[in-house]
Amino acid sequence: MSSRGSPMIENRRIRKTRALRLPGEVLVEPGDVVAPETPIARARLLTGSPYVIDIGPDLRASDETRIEVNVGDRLRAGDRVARGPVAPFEVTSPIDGLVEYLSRSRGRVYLREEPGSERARQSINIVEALKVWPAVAWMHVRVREGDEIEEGQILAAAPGVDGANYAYTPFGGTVERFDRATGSIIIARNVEEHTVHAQVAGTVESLVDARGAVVHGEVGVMRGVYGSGGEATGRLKVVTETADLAAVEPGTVVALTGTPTADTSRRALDMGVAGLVAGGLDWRDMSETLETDPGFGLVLLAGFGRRPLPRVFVQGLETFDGAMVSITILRDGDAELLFPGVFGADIPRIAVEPGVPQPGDHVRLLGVDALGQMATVQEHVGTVRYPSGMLLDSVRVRRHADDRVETIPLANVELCRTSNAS
Amino acid sequence: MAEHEETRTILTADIGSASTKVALFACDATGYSLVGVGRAATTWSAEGDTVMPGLVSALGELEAKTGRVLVEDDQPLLTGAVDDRGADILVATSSAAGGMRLLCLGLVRMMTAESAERAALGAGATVSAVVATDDGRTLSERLDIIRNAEADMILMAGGTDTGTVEHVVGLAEYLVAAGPKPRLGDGDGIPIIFAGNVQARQPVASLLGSVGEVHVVENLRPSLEEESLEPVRKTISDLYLEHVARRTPGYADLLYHTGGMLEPTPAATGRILRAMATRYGVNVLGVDMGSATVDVFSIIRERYNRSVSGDLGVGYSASGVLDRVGVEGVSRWLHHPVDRRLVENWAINRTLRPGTVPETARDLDLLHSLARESLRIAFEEHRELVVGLRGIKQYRTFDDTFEQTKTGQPLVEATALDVIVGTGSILGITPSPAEAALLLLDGIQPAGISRLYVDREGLLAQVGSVMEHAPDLADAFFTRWLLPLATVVAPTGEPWGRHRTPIAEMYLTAADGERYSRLLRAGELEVIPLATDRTMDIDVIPRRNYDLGDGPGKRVSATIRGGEVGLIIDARGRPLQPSGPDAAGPATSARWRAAMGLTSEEEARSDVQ
Repeated sequence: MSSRGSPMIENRRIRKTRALRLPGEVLVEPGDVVAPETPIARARLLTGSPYVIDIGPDLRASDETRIEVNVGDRLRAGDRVARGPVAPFEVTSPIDGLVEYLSRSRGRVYLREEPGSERARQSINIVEALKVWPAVAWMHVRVREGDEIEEGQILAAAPGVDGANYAYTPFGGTVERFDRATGSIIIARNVEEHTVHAQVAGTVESLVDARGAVVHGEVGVMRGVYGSGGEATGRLKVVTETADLAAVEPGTVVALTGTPTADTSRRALDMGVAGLVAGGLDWRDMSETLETDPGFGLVLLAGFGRRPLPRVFVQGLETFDGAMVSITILRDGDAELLFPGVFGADIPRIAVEPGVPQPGDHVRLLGVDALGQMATVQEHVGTVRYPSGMLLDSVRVRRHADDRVETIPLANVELCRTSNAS
Repeated sequence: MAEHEETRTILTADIGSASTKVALFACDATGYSLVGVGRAATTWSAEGDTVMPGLVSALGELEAKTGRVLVEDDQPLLTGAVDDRGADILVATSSAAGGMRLLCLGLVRMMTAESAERAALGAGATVSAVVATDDGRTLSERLDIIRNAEADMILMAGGTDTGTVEHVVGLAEYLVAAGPKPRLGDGDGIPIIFAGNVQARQPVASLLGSVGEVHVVENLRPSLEEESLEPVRKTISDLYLEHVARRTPGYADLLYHTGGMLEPTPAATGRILRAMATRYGVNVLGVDMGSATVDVFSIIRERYNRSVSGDLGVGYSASGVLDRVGVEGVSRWLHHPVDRRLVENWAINRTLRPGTVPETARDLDLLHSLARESLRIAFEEHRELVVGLRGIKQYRTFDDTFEQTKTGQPLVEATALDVIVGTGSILGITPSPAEAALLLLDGIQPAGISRLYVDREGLLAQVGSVMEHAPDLADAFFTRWLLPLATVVAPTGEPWGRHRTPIAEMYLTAADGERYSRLLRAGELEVIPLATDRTMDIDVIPRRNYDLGDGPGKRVSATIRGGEVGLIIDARGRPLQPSGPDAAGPATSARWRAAMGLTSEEEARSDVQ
């Protein structure tokens, strides 16, 4: 999560890969001009993949059982997966899919369903697994209509010749009904919709196989110290106080310049705000908000605790007040705000860099009380004893926000270099 | 050895996840001396920043402190030490860039998989995941874990030498299906160490040939009653340079300057602690309080083990500690009343900014409270990992017939800790030795008689890494640079007496023959000044129910040495109850601090108010 050597504010030419985690439908073509809110790809995912075929119970797996597929094979529904020692005994694939795992030693095959071939409702016939007549299968069913079930859960069990026979569900979902005529349990699989948006204004450069696209564009970027929740795209509204949230439109990304209150994030959520940018929030308020809506985008530009936005960010945010901005959460927990255009010459590029600050250098303060505030180093004052009892190499700094001069341990500042944003 | 004798000026570096430490040692006719140490922020990042700028910054600090030129053209000066310029060699350890990560597989979680985990940790690795056929996961979850393990190597155990081959082959089939790739490099094969059933070697090696390079090693559980970890540990160490260090982005220059003398930090730390246990014939517990992890090393009756608590630590893992113990867990050690929201915000800000130092007394209080909980849990986890082999046959004599002893009992008892060594930046920067001693005492909670040391300069791993090139350096470290804090006498007992109940008599005889006695009372903490170079004979006679390691009511005699703090009599009982029923909130910990001379009784009282 360190922002060492990383920009706080800059203009950047980027190639941003916007892709689904699993394959789906790509909605753009190379060369298309896209805006941050343009949908790039969409997927309708059914849970329950991979699909397990347990060959053992069906074929009584033995040395003579022959699994006829290999890891990596693509199968169609009905293709033979394995054959037993005697002609009628065989197992076929219930789905279109890819052989992801097989164990010849255990008689198991895992298939991952081909995207697009999934069925929202799947019928599991328990008669074969239990080795009972369909008419009496109902006696052995262990789930009821409406039950939510998880992958691998036992649906039915019946006494067999060599112990109990079991029927398992290969995927999670909800038990819709039991068909007494055929001995089948119909399961409605959970469905999740996923859409990825461009997030940046630019041109589609290339497609990512069935998952999304690479978008090329030039953007202004602001990097926060912490981000959480979901990715959010919306029109930026800069406000000064929590009370101003009452007037914002749903779907807005709000930047609060003043000190948040205990209810800031909850009120933002209540107003249908898509994302919130602030100096700092209490961890408890933030986590309660995200428990209510895990998709709510949050970016902190200073740190945790109720803190105003450091002044260094305010001007850049005001430049894009009313424009479409995107929040993107980086892998290491940092977050970036992407703006639809570049910052002007009046907004300098600021980056945190390694090195020991010298007089005149800008620094970001990292101590508990002034976390995230910018200051200028006045002088190196050597070793100072602090109320903690520690003797620490220190500098005297002047804070930009209120011109306050104070002595700070060198370990509690980070060097910031400023240059032209472009 | 001739080559080693010529090595007179040695630079060592320890590149941690948050900071890079360097030290310069020089040798003359009188032996080795520590010329100086330096420190800077580690500059490695996944985005492509190398470790070198951080190393050069740390060398720059060392150069400024010592006046010796150690950097030229932004590179370490290693052309041979001449007058006040350069050094002969640079030896490095590293735990940055994720350290060395292993995925462990075994058939049974509490048996072969646990042995594999112990072998990997002992070699200095971080275990990214443990997969076993009875781990309670679905097969698809196991495949996902293997696929996403981001490991540098795979250690596959499984089966005793007389067990069935089929299950071991089934385990190998997970790897074939998941097709794991090494965390670093261009996606070529991942090294797989197979240390399982000897009869399964051929089918397993043949199956796994498509996944990576298979290295067959002696079975680490040839039978249920045996565990053989060292051959596996040696193979892991041998593979480190080729498969981890050379593939880590940003490490090429470091490998060049060290001439390949680079190893994982925990491997070097383990080596020096083992040397200490051997040299002094004692049981040793070492704790390395890192930013992201707490490593615990033990050498108990010559048996070496290491554990890593990956979500504990006082920097990157600060919020992880809070997740584990809640605000209450941290707050019970505080001697300043602190609002719970502030504790939460402070912990997560520390995760974001792990290198910051406490400016106020409240910040230090929070940091040390977090450290106490990290240490306490890390030691508990170490005890859970270091257990006797499970499931083994136990032969009982007639006398044992009525004793129901279970297998898998902890081997690291609190009464077995002759020596406790603490290292890590938080211990190095404590404002006073008494503060460091109390932190170790509260976190580990040893019982019986123990001696506390702190590695104030952070040299433990660095000296460990260079022992082969400079054997005498270890002796110099033990006798001169490892700071003796105190000897602790800590009785235990069940049930613990009420506050101020007499629990033992102690008779002390100083080196000059002067004798005096003390009555130990339940709940009290006391410091008796005893300088580092002084010894004292003690006789402790615990009352019935109270124990100093030799059994309830058994007299214990020992010759003890002093330290920066002296002799600490810790009669607070175990486990410690810092905000117990006799004192709500911060009162108890404030009283203990006052007893250690850290705050006066009045300050302690005003803190509470």
